[in-house]
Amino acid sequence: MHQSLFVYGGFRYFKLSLLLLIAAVVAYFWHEPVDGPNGGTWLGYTLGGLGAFLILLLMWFGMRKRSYKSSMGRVEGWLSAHVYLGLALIVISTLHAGFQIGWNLHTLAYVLMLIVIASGIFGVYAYLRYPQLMTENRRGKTLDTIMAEMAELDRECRDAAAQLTDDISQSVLNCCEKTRIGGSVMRQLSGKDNNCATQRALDEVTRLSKSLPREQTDDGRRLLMLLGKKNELVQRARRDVQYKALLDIWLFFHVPLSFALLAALSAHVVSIFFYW
Amino acid sequence: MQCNVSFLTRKSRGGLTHRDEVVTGGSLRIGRSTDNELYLSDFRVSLHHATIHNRQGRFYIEAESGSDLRINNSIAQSARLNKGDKIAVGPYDIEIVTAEEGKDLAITVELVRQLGDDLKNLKERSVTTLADAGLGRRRMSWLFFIVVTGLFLALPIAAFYDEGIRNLFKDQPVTADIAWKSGDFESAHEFFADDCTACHQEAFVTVRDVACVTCHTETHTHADPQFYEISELNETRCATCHKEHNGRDGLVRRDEALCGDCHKDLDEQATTELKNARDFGKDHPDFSATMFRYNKQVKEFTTERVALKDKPREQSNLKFPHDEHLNPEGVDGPGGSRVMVCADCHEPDKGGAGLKPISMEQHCAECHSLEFEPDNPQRVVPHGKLDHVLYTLQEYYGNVALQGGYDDLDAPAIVKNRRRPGYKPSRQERKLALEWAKDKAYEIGEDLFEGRVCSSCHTVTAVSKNYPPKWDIAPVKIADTWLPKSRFTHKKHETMDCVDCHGDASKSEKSEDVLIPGIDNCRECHAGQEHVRNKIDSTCVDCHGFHLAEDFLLGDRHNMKTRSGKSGTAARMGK
Amino acid sequence: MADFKIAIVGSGPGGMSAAAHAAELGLSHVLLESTDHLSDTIFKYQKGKHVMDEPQVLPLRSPLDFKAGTREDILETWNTQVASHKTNVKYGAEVTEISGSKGDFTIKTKSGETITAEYVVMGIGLQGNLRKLGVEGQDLAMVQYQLDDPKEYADETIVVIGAGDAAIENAIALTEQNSVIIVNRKDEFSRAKQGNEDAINKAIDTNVITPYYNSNTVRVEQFDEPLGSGEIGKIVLSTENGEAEVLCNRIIARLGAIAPRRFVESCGIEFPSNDPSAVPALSGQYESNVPGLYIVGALAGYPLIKQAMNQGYEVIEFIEGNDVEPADEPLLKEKFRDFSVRNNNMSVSDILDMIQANVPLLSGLTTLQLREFMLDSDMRTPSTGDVIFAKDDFTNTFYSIVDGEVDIQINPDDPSQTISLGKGAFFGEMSLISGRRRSATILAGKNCVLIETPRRSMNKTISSVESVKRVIDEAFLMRALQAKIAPNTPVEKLTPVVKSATLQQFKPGEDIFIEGDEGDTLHLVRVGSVTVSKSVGGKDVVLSYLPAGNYVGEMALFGNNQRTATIRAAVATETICLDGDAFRTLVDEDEDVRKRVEEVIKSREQVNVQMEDSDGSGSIIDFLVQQGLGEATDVLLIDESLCVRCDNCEKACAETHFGTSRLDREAGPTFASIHVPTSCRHCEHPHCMRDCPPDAIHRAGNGEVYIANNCIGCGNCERNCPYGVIQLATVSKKHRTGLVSWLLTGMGLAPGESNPAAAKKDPDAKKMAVKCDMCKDMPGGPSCVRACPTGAALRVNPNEFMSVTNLENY
Repeated sequence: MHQSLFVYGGFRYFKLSLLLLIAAVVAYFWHEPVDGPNGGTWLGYTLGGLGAFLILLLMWFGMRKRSYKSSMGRVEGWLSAHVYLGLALIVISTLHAGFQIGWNLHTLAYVLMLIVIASGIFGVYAYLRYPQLMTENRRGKTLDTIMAEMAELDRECRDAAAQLTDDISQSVLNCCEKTRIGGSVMRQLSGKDNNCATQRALDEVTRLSKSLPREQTDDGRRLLMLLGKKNELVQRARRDVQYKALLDIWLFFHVPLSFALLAALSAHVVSIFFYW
Repeated sequence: MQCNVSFLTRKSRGGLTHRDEVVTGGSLRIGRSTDNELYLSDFRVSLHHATIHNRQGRFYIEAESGSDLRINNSIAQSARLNKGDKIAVGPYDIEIVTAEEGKDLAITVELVRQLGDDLKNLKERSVTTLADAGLGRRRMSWLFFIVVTGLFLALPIAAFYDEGIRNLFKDQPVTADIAWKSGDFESAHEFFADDCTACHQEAFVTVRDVACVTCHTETHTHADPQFYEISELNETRCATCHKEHNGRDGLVRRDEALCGDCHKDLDEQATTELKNARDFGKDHPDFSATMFRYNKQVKEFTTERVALKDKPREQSNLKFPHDEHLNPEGVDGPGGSRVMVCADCHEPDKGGAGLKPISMEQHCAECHSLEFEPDNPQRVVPHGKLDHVLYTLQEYYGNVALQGGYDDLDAPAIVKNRRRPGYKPSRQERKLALEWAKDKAYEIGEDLFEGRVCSSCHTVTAVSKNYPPKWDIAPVKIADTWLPKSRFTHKKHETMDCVDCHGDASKSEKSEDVLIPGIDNCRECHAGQEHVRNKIDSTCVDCHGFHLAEDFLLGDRHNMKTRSGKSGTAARMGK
Repeated sequence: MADFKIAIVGSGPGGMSAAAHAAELGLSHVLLESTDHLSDTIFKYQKGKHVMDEPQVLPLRSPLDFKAGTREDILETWNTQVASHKTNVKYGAEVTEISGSKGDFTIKTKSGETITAEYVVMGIGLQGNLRKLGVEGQDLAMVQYQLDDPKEYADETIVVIGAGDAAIENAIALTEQNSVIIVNRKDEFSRAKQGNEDAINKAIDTNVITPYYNSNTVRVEQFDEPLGSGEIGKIVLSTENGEAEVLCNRIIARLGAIAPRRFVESCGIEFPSNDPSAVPALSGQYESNVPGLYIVGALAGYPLIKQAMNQGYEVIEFIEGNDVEPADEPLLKEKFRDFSVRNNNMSVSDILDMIQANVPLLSGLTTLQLREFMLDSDMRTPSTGDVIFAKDDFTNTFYSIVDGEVDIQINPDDPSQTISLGKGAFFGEMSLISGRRRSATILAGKNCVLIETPRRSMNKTISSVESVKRVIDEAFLMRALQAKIAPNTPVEKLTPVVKSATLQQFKPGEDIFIEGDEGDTLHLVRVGSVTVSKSVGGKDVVLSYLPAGNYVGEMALFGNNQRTATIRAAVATETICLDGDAFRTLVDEDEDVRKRVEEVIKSREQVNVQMEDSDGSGSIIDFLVQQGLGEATDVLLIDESLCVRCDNCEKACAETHFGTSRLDREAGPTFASIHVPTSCRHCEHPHCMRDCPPDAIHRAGNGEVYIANNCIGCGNCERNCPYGVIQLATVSKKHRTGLVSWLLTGMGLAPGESNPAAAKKDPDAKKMAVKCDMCKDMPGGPSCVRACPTGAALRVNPNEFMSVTNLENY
């Protein structure tokens, strides 16, 4: 049976990270350097080296994930390791720095790393939360099919409104021609559209249809029903986009920042030995 | 009126099909509603869009309220229609063409603006992925990467190698490599800290002493090479112990290892009388007092270190029994008997580290007065200047003799007898008087030196008995401190009583006794580096200095190195 | 005196080659071709299609050349060579009747003309003649009966007639550039494949295609000059509401073909079985049961061009009385070499005789069939103790024992327990029929000689030789009984049961029996799989899923004539229906059997109880079965509660398969959080294998169904797959994505991205059908699963997966 990446291989990487942590912490407290704990002591260098290695390893995930022919472990395993070792990195690097911070490159690298990890943690949260919601929201449809249904409803709406008053037809027309799913980053993330053409059409038609002549009330009711249906679909489509966006957004910080980190890290290492 | 309407549909291959019909009516209403004469089904047409009226064979079109009409591409509410006019009604184009016989009007209607594909348009309007919304990982990554590398790697390095770039930052709040600063500076160094190259002079090379020596020329090295031939001694860099960037006061090492590393087995590394030591608490030799030996022949003092446990005896040539002076019953003095305490003689010096020197006049004279003539107790002989003593006596008794009336049986008459006023003694008489005075002085002197006064504290030897007599007093030298190689301050120990450490004083009968406590005494309160309950953690540097060399300075060492290559040892051999 | 010595009917490769050879020998002959060109079948291949010359080993002996190449080249060569041999060809001569006997045959053609000949060679193939409209104007220029290239026509109004797959596919293909009208005699397109039916209905709903239902063609008229609107003619239809005239530029009628069988039989030729794929029984010289009437080519069971051409040559030689050795002689020699060497150089024919003598099963085959059979088969002489196949292998070849014996391990836990099969017996039919893993390990006994026959040619033989079918069915029955119910019962005791047995077929979803029904028959599932359901609270709840090899209805044996559950076929299913009484007697007599059956009943009861109170799992089974997992052997599922929609699985698939992904993650249904993406299920009886001209689709040892490189891109499998997991793609081995350069610069192909343009340029690029092959060449297994970062993708074997315990902890 399958297993989620958190329990992968019987918590293999969780255990590994835990081991690293304990080792690091123990060493840290056992080792009392004369000039106080800092990156310059032998332990400092060791932890630093370990940390740098981990960072490179974690970043290599991007490569491994895409080298599909590689049979070096399963990507799931790599991600599992990625998550747990990434968390371990917080402690390891902190101990490496010996809690020294300042307005300098070295702390920059440290902070960048923390941000990257933080974004990663959000990613984990997203991965745990949104897939289920997404499935429930879709009800077995795909975004494409939902949109197709919307387009279908547009046609039906027009038919229903064919003989109704011009202001109704106007708002129906807007509904057909102006409704949009997603949009700017913010709109995707919020899953809302404050002037949603469909919503507006629904409201207006609800208002206008009150004053329809008796013989047209049926058309009116039908139109309202259709608009309601479409509105529901629109909401669902937006929510789908929203979930997807939430699933992805963090990567747009995680990845670029990790490259910033990579730069800072190399600068850090070079500077250390440049001004030795 | 009768109107020919032909609906045109174009085929993609340029073919044109038409469906013709004839509409009749007073006027020709155009719109989406089915009750129009001209019924245009497209949704974008208003229910009642416009009407064509026939007024005496002339045709006019009028837009219904709210619906817009374009006649020959210009918006109009109404217009007269002529052949060839093009009217845009929603997506349709209506053109006026020549009517055939019997018809009043002929128009062609064509749907020219097809309603687009809903799905296609919807998808075009929608942006459903963040990437499509303009977020790009690669772009951002590169941006960040380049910015960070540029600012924090390229710039500092460039500035390091290139004068010009460095100057850009002259007198700026920040320097090119400020970001590399890994921590605060020892406050003493702050004033030049902005210039990293002050210490980091060469890339990828650890900070060398050259940098330190620019200021610390006069600082003593650890030991004088001529005594110790340990190469490490003068090759270890300052920075190995003095680690910068660890805060405002991070520079001095206080840990055991600083000394212990070498001193734990010094004997293996060099020929020295220094004992091995590693930790004050655990591994430290007993104290040895450095004190004076007196050589009678050459009349000179030499020093010597003797471990306290070997009961060292100092030869200061002073006689001083601490026990008598500290006698709890008290000591008899001019003002009667009084009990003395240490502080009566041992006063802390300024700063309180050591003790003021003892002086005869201040501390002893009160009891040990130097008067010689009982009739005249005010007169005393000076302390310390031997020959002045006799002069003082001669001068005193000379006067006595010449005044006469001194009561002494075997003195000549001129000395004994009172004088009549105005009596002028003869030369003979004066001669006699002075002879007597001289003898008297010698007699008293002998008594002072050998009898009552000097010898009680000093070692006096008569050099010649015959006239004029001569005495000699052995010079006195009291050790200022018996442990010169360490720092001890009484001030820090004020809270304690003297006896706590110097308890033996009250029993000491001789001044030879070296009245300082041994290491065990210290250890009662002082542990080593490793903390012991109720004890003070004390490391080497609490008592010992590091830069102890007497005459070999960092400056020399640096010059020497530069003179004769790296090997300090070789250099020292040469010195 | 007949007009000709030899009349050859049909100018396919066989007939053509025969005619050419006759011409070569200067015999009086005539080649009758119903169309106006040679070799209609190949003529109708789509333009530029690459034609294979399988089997390459077989030497070509024909006056006409034939090498693998494009349709055009091949037709060109034939036309010129036929001409250069001064072959007497009669075009437009559609033969309607052949009568008479050897030396004096009379042949009637549609045009009423009669031709007499001494011998007749029939090479009319299996394709038959396209059915025409059969109304006035059916032969007008604007009426055509096939469509080579839909791209040919643009901006036309085209009327497509027919409701079959061909019609639908044409219609949809044409919509790209034309306005299309489809005419259907019925009121729905149910005859078509699911995919096509959906497609056409969608096209109709979205007004892309205008349908005329319940309509028949009345007549077709073509105008003297095109209308202003471009139409050049009209078709008149009779619809429910009267006649309708449709203006159009073109009429494409896809009404299928008239299978030649009826015609062939009308000539007195007999077929061994009613199986549609059966071919007439022929002598070693291709002579049918009607003396003097010879059959060559596909109709004789030789679908491959080269074989047909050889036969054409040979048949003339035979008629001339010279007994040429068959072209496959050298091949068979080669096949038998080892064997004959060890048996003092037995000749091929002796060996063949020996085989028929030793293997009763094959005795019913004609020499031709046997040769054909042996050509595909292999002669194996394994040394004692060799494993011929192991339990749970996925191989599906069929073995006949020519000599010696083999040992079957009946108890997997204890290899020493074996029963042995002797000379003349056969084995492997279980997997062959049920499409499942091997049910037992079989070892070679002493000096055993085997014939291993691949699934395809075995099925062909089974369907064309009645005796073989019967024997194998009985054997299967007997062994199924032994394996599942009565292992220790002597055969004779089982025979009455077997005799009582009947084979029953069920369509997917059809009920085998319903809860509460009367009935005491026992069904042994032989092909496919079934679901067991009970009505709980008025609604049907699926209790369990039983794959082939299991039996249902056992309750009936214990006096209970009321069915306790509903058994429904999950997929097209075949069961062996055992008569209750016969079986009951068996159970009564045999204590051991009774025990076993009771065992089964008990365990079933437990499962059912477990199922009834584990809500959900039942409906999951139901759902999965509806997704065709009933016939799957290995299927990709996605746990959507873990899936983060990163599409890495698709990318991985594309990357490991030259840029074309064989899986569509998003498509496909979802239930609870189980998502069944569009990807191959590796069916037990792969629909795609059904008609693959080059036999390029195979099942590998551990089950994966894959398409080999000799695929010719005909698209049959794509059409046959009910799950739409096969696609035609131009595969360029050059496809490469420079990962690093892409990561750094975004240039080049992104992972999973394909580059059709480049593929087109690549000369070695090849249009072929692609589908999931379970990455059988990758060390780590299926890349989709390996590439899934969250462990959402899983491959499961339904038999194990759809067990209650699994679904419980799912």
